Amino acid sequence: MKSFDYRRPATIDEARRAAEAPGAAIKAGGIDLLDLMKEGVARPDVLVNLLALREPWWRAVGATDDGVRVGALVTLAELADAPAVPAMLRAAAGAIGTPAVRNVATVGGNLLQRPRCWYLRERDHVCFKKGGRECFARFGEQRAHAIFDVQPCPAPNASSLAPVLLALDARAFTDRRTLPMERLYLRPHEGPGGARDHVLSPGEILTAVEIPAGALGRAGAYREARDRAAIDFPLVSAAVSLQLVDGKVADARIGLGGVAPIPRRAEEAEEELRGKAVTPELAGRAARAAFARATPLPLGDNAYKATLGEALLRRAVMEAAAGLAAPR
Amino acid sequence: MTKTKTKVGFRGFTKPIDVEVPAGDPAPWDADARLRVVGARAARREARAKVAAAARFAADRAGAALFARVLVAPFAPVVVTALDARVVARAPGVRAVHAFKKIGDEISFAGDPILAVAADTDEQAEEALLLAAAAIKYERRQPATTINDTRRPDAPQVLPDGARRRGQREGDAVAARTAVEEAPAFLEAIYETWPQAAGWAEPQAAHATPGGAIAPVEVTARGTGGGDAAAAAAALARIAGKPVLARLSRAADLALGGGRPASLHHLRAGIAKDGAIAGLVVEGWVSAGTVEVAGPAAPPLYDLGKYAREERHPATHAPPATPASGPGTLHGVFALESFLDECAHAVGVDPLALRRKLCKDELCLAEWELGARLIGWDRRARDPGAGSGVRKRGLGMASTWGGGLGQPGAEVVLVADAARGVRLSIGAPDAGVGLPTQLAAIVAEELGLAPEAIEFDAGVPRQPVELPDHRLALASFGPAARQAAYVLGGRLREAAARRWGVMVDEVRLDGGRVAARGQSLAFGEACALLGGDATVTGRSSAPYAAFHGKTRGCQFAEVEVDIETGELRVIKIVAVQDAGRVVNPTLAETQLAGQVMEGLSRALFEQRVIDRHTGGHLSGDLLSYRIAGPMDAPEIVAIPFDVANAGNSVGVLGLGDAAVLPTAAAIGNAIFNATGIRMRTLPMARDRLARAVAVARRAGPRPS
Repeated sequence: MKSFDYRRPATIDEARRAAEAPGAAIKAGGIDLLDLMKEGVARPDVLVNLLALREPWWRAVGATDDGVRVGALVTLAELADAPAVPAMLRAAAGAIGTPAVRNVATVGGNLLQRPRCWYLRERDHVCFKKGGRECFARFGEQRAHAIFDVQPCPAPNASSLAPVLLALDARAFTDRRTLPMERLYLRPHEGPGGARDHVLSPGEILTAVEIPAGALGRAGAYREARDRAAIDFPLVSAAVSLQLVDGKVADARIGLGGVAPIPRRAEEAEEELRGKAVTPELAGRAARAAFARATPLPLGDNAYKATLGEALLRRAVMEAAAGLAAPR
Repeated sequence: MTKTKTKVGFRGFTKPIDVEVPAGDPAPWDADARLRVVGARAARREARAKVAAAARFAADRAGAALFARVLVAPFAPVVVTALDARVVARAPGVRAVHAFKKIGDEISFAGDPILAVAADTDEQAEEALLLAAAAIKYERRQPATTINDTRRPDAPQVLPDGARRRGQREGDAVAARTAVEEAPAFLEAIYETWPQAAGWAEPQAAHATPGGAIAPVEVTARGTGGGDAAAAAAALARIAGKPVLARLSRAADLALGGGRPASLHHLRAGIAKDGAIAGLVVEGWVSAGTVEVAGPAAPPLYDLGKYAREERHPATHAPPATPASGPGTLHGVFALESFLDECAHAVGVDPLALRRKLCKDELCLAEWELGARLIGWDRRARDPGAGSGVRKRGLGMASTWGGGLGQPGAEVVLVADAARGVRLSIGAPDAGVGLPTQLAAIVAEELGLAPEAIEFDAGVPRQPVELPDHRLALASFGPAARQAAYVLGGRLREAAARRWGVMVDEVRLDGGRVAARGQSLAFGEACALLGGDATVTGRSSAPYAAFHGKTRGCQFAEVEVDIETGELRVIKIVAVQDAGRVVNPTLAETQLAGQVMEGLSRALFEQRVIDRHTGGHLSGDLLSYRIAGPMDAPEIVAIPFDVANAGNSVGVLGLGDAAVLPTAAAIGNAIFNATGIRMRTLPMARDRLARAVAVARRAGPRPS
């Protein structure tokens, strides 16, 4: 690992100043960043550790006038046990990594981790995301890669929380602005080169996410598929949030993970559901619509994600519709 | 050689045989032996240290003067076009640089060591490697990373000078082909396995100290293996003139630690009217990088009629596969045991009934009966995919063979000391079978001591590091330990007999005392009688003619498959495995359960991933190179099947090797029973399962 200067700011102002230094990287739990540093992929000159911050609300889950706010330094273990947040968010948090990882990993770190791609995470393949011009996965090893928006880089966003927060219509707060979840991430072709995965400026710090009050009473479900039963990232995940009125879907928001470079809204499926009573047939139609326009990579080794995603989404829709009476 | 009568067999089946016992070895413990320590349960000695992270491995070694790291090739094949070790040598803290390659060298796999650096701190060594990586240039060429790549007409050449591996043939190909063609029924299938790594829990590390001209370098690789790390440490210690601790990165270890080859096997069987197999023709491709790994030998269990195998061993630009548990036969057992299941289904018989028809071996039959009872084989649905709902359950089984008696030449040193009691040491690291506990039990049994009275030290410098084969560690070191204890016991008896004026035969070693005719000495006091003659080296002999020189075993699996998502849960695995004499049931059971977990891991998750265009190694960490975790573990019923074997003085056989092999076929066969979907590729990873259930759904219900 390359040597670096180490900062442990106590206040948000100190943190911002430290993080604006050239070559600075922000560390919370460090689960993703330290891995990248050990591999020689991330080589910061300055490491800004947020864990010394004296800002208690960064570590808290609590009600606000507008909903429930989750501080960026809340650990995944705390989130998985927080009764104030919807069950689908707790379920997603509780399925990440291992207990040891969840005790350290934070909500902010989960949202801002780099995408999962073995070329990106290996030092010697200088791919699009690392400033190169090539995508090695496009005609290479691609079983876990995206099936939507695959140009120029199909590395999927790896956050388990993001699709759920997207379905919950959450907002992200930084030290300087508020963003809807949908505008937090950058598609690879939108960024300056491929180096950035999100819209935050250098030195800008994610401080919290907030689930609006309106989303708390909605019916929800989360499903994911992965290789191992633990210690793995979802190959595909589906988060469904339904507003049911008189047995019909008044509104639907669906987030998909593992299928695109950024967490994906399944708008076609939402449209299919709106105004109708959920039946197995409707859930199937919606799920098909969500994946109808998938564009797996040319070799097709990731095409299974469409059928797998369809099955998961259909179940999540049925479960959300059935689980309305369940406590959130 | 002494001809000795002994009784071999297992509960419900024993028979007397004669064995020739080499001079120096005691008569084997046989089916009637009444043993006190051997066969009793005992906790693993180092268990507490291991779970409390107090165990020390080579990488933990303190007091190294210098720390070394090894740079490996990122792509393959490449030719080194620039390599300037001076840039690296000038980096802060660097004391020695050793280049394994020079300009112009061609490198055939990613992970091949290029250069090693020793520095004052580990961090400096790592930073120097980054400099080295930037200073080395390669010319990249198109690789052939898979068996299919090597079959293309324009396939890149892998071995120098156009060389090709010869491959293997066995059996009478014409006779087998004729038998297959003339049989009334015909069945064929192709099985594929992807390459897998065989890293250790701790990446390789080794410590080397420079010496004079006579003893050039002393290398210690205590706790884990360390061939490549040892080479780096030794070279750098010589250059720097100081002790060096070298550690491989996880990625390098996963490339260099050996592994399972890639394989493709095409099996064609002719099936007779009564369901017997008239002939089997196996055509195979097995690829292990640039080295050659033998394919599956003719399966010894079954009568397969006329059998022939023709196998090619194409070289690829992939890390070498080297012996790990069952290197030559994981793919062989997977293919054959899956294929027998397919044959049984084709002729409409129960797969276990088919095996009973093809195999009359009394040990196999006994193991099958026990395994079938423990899994509840009578619950198995006759028709695949018969269950209702989306989560379907099924049962499958597979057999295994292999392992066997130990190898000659394994050394155990016993030192008896009046003050410290008996110390036992071997030159090799403990590969995990619990050698300290098990060898101590054997020595204690022979000397009439409590096992706690025996101290143990593995991986002692200056004893031969050459381990016969870690799969056979107990089967090799066990008899060596017994021989050493037997010789030591003989000397103690003689010394006591001389002192007391009694016959040697009258002297007994029991209860920690040496006694005869009412006189006795504490063990330590008796050791003092030996004077300077208290060190004994035991060496394992070549195996005797045994009851069963090869192990047999079987595994039965119950699985649940979600036929919409391909989610697989392995519910239960019953493993019954011949282990010869079970020295310690607790350790044998945990070892067997561990082998089942490895078998499950290789069946479902493990795959070494090499980029098809760059030849780069993409599965260099444990998130990409997936190993089954605790949450993937099924209920495991592990039954080491105690067999009096007389193949060596202890009667112990290698337990680990063969028990890894059948798990994949047992799971695959259970998946078929649950769903009617046949998985013919390893690993049966989630993407393959998801694809398979999607294909099956599109195909719709099959006409019966």
